[in-house]
Amino acid sequence: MSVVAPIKHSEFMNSILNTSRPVKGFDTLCMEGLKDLQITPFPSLRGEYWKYTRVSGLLKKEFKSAKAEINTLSESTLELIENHPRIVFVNGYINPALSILPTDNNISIACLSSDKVTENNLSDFPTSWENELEAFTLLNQSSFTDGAFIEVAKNAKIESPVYIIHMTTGENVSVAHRNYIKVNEGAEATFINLFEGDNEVSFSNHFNSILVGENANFNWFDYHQDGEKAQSITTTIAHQNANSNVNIGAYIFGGKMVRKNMYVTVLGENCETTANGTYILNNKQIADYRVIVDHKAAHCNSNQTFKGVMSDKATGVFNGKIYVRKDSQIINAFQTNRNILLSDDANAYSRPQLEIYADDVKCSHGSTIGQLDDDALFYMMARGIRKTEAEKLLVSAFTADAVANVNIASFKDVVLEAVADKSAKL
Amino acid sequence: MSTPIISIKNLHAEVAGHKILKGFNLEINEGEIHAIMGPNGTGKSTLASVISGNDEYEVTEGEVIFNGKNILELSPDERAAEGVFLAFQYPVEIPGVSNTNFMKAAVNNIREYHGKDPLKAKDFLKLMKEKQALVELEGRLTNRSVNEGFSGGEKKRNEIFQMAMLDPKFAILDETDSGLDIDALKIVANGVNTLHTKENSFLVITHYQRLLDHIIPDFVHVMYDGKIVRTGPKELALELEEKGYDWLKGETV
Repeated sequence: MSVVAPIKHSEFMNSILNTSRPVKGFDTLCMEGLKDLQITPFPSLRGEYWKYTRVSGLLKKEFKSAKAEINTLSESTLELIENHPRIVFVNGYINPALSILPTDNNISIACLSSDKVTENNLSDFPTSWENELEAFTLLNQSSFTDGAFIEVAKNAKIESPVYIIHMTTGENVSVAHRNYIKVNEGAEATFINLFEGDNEVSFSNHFNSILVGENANFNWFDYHQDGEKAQSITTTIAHQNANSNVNIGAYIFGGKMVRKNMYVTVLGENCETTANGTYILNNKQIADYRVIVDHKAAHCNSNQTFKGVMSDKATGVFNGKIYVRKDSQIINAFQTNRNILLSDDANAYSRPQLEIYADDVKCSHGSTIGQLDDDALFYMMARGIRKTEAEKLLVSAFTADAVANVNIASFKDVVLEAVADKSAKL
Repeated sequence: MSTPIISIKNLHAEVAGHKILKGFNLEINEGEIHAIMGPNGTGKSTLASVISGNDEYEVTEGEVIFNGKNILELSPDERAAEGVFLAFQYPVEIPGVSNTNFMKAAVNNIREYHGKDPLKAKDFLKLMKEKQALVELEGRLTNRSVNEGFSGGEKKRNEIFQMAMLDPKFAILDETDSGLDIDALKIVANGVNTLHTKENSFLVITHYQRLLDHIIPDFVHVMYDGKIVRTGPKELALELEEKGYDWLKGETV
């Protein structure tokens, strides 16, 4: 039975809602999503949070959810993930044959489509940031086709990173899955999301809801090598409890349009929060970050470092916000966004913002938009270094601190290499 | 008969519409060391920039033949690969790029230009070590970013180190002595003298005679208003030290 969408919605929404196979056991969540979707306008440039990325083009197309079979992962992906456990989603549906679950009993993974988990198990998880209604988040809530519920046991240290592969294949497919991750008290785990796919037009709209327990250590990285016509939106909401460490990063090299909503709400004292991003873009690529770190408790530190390099007609958007709520005293919160434009037609929009209601805090924010240092370029060339090579070295140096938070050496090498490879194409 | 390594003929160059080089002529043979002296603002550094290919300067007339090729048509990296080296007056700091990666890119790009395979990591590190010793920078470069946080003396020694790594046919030292104490000056001069052979040549731009006590030039040229106004043996430098430049200014016309 397919969900009947209210008439009000565009063909874009209806097509996705009608072709998505609803997940058993999530009916209430789905219906509530639909209800809210009815009163939520589709994002436009007039709004605050989609001011620089036009998504109205999506409305002209009909995307359909479609299951697809693939027999193997690409060689480069296999090389990257080595022997680590992996959960493979193809077009938003789990692919059990390609997935390899962790052997460690301290981490449990269940698919939402299995009968092991229903919405009743997941009522503690956030579904929005501060009850804000976001069309794409609600669309995911009403149309997701699968996802994973991952739980890391109390005090367990999971050494091996878990890879979550987000594969998109086929023309005009709509892809939506939804993940719930619970890292219990004192536990430690790292998750790496790989986004990839063919070069057909596609629309992905993912949602991750994360609970980080007291004293836990949580690392979450997104690596975008999507196909050149892929449009991908991911919303990740994490709730962070006392004495915990949340470290997230989103590194964008592929895709036509990639939007990252990264929201961390800090609920307990003595937390460390890191949110980083790097985006190296050419042609007409768009990377658009909306980052929120919401300090609701005292004695915490947070850091945001986002670095972008754009050439051709590419666009980078950073919309970052630090909230320090009343009574959240002794907060150190920093936010930097720096951009390099390599062509006259490239764009960078940067809005680093602070909203502070406490009085004993140390916060800073800043952004720059500039060019590669001509003096450094000439100096390098005067030593025999080709211009492309010199630019590559300078771009790698520029982005280094936005990648520094990656705690898995093999993955860090992959990101650094991707920075170098992509900058050679600029 | 000696062969010219570089031959500069009637060179005119300007920056932002300002004419700076106004018919500069100079020929340097293999194995020779030439010094250029002259008051501030006469175009000495412009000459260095133009030869090494800085595109802030526009060449409006003339030619620079290096090793039989008109290098004005080459990009800065191609000129470097052909064997031109400029020791910068103000070496540039490049945060985040390590000296090792910087030199590796330089050495291997130049090797590639000549159709050679990149140096093996082991050989490269050996070369780094050897050349650092030449300017007494042992172990002080490897993990640091290029020139970042270097003292003035370290920056200039790093220039000589880079020159040693690249082994150019022709090197311009643009006021390499400025800002150096006497010990650093000796280290720099010693580095240059060690690298100097019958096959390579140097053009030393300086304000002071003292560098020329350590690097002995074959010829001293005085530059004024965009061209050479007087050429003499190394003793000319002493005379300049004594008399200043004013007595030569009349000779421009």
